[in-house]
Amino acid sequence: MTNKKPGPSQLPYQEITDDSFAGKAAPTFRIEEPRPGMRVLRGQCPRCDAIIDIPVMPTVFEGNRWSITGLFHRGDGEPRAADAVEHVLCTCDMHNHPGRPEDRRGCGAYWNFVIRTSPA
Amino acid sequence: MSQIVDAGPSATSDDLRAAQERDRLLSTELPRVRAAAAAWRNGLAGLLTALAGFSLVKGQSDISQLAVTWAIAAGAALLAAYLGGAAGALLLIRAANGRPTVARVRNLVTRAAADHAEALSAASALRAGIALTLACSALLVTAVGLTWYGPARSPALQITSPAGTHCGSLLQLDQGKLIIDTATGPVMLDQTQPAMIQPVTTCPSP
Repeated sequence: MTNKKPGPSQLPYQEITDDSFAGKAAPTFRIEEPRPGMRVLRGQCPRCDAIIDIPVMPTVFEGNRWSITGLFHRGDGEPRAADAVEHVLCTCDMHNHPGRPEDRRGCGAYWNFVIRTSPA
Repeated sequence: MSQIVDAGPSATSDDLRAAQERDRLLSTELPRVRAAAAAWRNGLAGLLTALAGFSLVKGQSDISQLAVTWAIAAGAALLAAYLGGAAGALLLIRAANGRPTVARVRNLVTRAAADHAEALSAASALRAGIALTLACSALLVTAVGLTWYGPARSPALQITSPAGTHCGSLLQLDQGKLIIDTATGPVMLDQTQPAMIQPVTTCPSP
């Protein structure tokens, strides 16, 4: 009888973090800019190994907030600070992780990245 | 300048909640914009229907009695209202339903980015559509107000005398002289001469 490590699809959903997650995931992630001002971090989840996309957008539609001036305000948002911390969670939709609540995505792993700007 | 991804500080449960909230907002962004646009479209359509369709505000049926400048202003306001209303309606429909597009496969971007870009476009169209539709309502009310409260056109007189036929509004009647404002300028007529004076609604074109 052997103790096999469960495959990615058998990994139960668990909201868990580990200091090693960010270090393990960072080398696999790259930054894409599909449209000006929009960035997508694409890489591998350090827990379930799924390739995930993390959209990093400066703005998001919040909802209806009534104001006349709001009709003429584009809401482009503030410029992001340099070396901003990005909170990342696994958004894997390749595997159906057992025990995952209906309103959750991924395997539950989460960690922090820092986006550093360096002279090319 | 290039950007690189590096390991960040240890994550906390607050970071998890923030990431989950961001993920929820972004993944539901497009349906939320669409739902908001559909609600605005229906509400504003009701407002315009009430204003125009059920004649909550109704202008005078004949604006030919209005002074020319005011009639032109009412017409311009009506035209602007129709143009603004049509553009606003199209923008609201675009925000609620999207725009049929065909993209090159090689240019396809990730679903999250494409949905976010469409959500931002839809939100812009929604804001512009709301502004234009409200402006249309205001212009409609303005045009109706002009037809009610604008000054009436001065009655025109067509005078046929040995000197010829002249038509225009009466400017002055004094000491046997009659001055009328014709399309070609003021004309003074001698009232002592035999003439046929006939009131008309509008002067014939010269």
